Amino acid sequence: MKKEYLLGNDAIAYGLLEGGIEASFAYPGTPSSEITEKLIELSKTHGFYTEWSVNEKSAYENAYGVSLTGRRAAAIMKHVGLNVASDAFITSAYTGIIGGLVLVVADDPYAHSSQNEQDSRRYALLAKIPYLEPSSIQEAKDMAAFAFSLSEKTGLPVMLRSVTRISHGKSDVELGKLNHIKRDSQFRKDPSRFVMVPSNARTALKRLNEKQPVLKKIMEEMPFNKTDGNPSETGIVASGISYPYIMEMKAEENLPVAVFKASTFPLPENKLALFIKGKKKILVLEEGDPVIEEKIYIISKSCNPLVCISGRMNGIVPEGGELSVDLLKKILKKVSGAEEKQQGEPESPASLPVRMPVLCPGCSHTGSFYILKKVFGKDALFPGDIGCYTLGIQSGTIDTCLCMGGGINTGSGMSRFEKEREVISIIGDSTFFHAGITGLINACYNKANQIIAILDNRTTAMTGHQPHPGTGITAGGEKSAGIDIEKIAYACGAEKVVTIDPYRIKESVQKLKALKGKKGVRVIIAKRGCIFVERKQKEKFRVDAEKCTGCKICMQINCPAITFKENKAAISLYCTGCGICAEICPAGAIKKYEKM
Amino acid sequence: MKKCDVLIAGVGGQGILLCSNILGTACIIEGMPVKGAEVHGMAQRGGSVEAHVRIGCFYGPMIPRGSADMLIAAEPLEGARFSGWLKKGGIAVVNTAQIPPVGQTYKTEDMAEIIKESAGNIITRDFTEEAIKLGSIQTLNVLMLGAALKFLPLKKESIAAAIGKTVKKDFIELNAAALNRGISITLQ
Repeated sequence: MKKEYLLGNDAIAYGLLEGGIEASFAYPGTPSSEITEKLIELSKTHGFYTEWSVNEKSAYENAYGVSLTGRRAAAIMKHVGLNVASDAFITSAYTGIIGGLVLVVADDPYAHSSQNEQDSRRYALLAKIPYLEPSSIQEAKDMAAFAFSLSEKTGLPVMLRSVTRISHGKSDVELGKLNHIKRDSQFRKDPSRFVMVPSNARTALKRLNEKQPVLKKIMEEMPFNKTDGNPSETGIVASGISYPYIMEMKAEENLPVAVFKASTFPLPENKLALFIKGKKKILVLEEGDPVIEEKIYIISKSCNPLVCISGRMNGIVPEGGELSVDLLKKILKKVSGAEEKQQGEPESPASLPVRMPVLCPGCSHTGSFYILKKVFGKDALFPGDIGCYTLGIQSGTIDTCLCMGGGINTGSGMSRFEKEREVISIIGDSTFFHAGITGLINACYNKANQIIAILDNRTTAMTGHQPHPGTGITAGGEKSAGIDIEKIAYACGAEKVVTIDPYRIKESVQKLKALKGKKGVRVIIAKRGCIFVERKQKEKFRVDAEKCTGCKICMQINCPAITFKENKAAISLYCTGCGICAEICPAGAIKKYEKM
Repeated sequence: MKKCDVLIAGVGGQGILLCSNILGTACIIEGMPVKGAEVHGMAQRGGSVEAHVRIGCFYGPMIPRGSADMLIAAEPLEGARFSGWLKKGGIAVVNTAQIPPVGQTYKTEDMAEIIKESAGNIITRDFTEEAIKLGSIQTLNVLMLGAALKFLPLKKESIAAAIGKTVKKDFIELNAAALNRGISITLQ
């Protein structure tokens, strides 16, 4: 069999292909984006449909539609994306599905690149559908392929739950056979099943509940769940990525513990009851909420009520964050009752300079933030949103960040009572299409007094430059209708729309002054492609040390290419030639290379 | 089978992830089990990047603290930051050329001292300068890989073949030269 060194997300894409995917739908979001990137690449040789949808709700509903025609489809998103798709997701369990429907969701414990650490498995429980939780990248691929047949067997959507360390982990992966069946099935009308009016919903819930014992039976036999049969009195129930962590420790330190790998929901309750029966102590290891731990309490009640259960619920495992071999060492010491050593391990040298994430040299947002602050003052309120521009937190031009599209509505709410200060909601282009348009309509319809600044850098930058409706390019690279943000803004009822180029500081400041202190919803579109999209080699800039007065005004834009040495500014080779610093330099000391 | 945990650290844009993919692919070529991980923050450029490569490993993607056999640091501050991952007496290959975070200063020698607290053997050099001499700053990662090769349980031929599989066609020759140059640095 062919082996490759694959990123977890690439392995999931191969798995979906092996499982016979006919269509995939996704909105980018770390740590899930590479799955679709890989699928787009694979679709070119294997001829299935891929799409960057406008948001996760669109993605899920599209996948559901494909499933109703009898074909295998996947919806792919990050954990918070499932909040957006949840409305469709939960009721889709009521109607059930026809073609295999797989929901791939990548959680982000420790919130490496997210606004929260929510556990998607709770959603699977809420919807009463099965989930599969891989413990390795090989298993992620295998489960992705298997999930389609499980979905068809149960008539339910199946969740594949990844986490950051699976999605962004890498491994030697053995690839399997492709199961590429082109189906010619059609949607068969069945209103009693697919039209969720109340009377049908009540019957659907009954059907969904009747499936639960069947699901339990299937999971009881599932080979993804297993135990090593060690007779130890201490048992560890491990799920997901915590399984290889405990197995590594067990091997390295010859730990006398029994391990049960619990990889599915419903849990294999009978097997777990047998495992718990002879144990004195059980430790539950899982990333996210104590989802399995809660079930272990319930299962142990009938098979071993005196067993001592440890995990997140009794504080032995920290309540938040991700697990690691290092953390497991500490946890196991606590479980065995050994005192934790006071000195512990040395942490990273504390005094080292921090490398904060920064906007790239030449980022158009740098100009936008400078302009907005210049026009509306630093006392203005800047309810923000999710994207690279959230880094405006460093320049005081992002005051809130809640969720996709949240900044516009938050701003409308603020503006009802903040009469003295101007409210400027900041949102990116892709985020605007994702969840901003309804907020704009709401603001206009309800006569809010606010400014909405759409920072249009012509791409979904933060997740790796995926196209969106404004770019007029589809996932597969085809041309499509490029949606015009300015026209949308007017159609939604904006009083005035002003488009600026954030590289042209003085001109933009002049243009925007007219919006200050006015009534109604005013929209600014700051349009300039991300440096990774424009990719034009521009001439770099340089500081004329003789003219530089050391005023540090150029340092205000936080450009990583500008340094300050011996009371003078200097521009490094990382300059991309945007010229923002040259425009704001009061001494005229910054010039293009050629002019020096 | 020889196990070897390698932590590669640097700054976004230095080719850290490609470097780890070359190592991982070389393991596949030699039929060795391999695990790994990439860790990068939110920003495209300028953030810390770390890649774990666990040669001969059957377990998880992440190297536990204090147990890496080797640290390859493409930037001295990042080398110091991740030196806690190195086991006592481990090997460190460190680029001395700095990429300071906005508004921060530090001394390369101080960073090397921090790394020496764990490293039993440290190879320091201005690899950026070497890369520029070779004709492209982009060869930095493969140059450093070449310098590290002597201490890795992998054959040069496998690394070269892995470069052929992972690097863009136009750059294969340049990177092959960088590998050789890197190897010659530790032979001196």
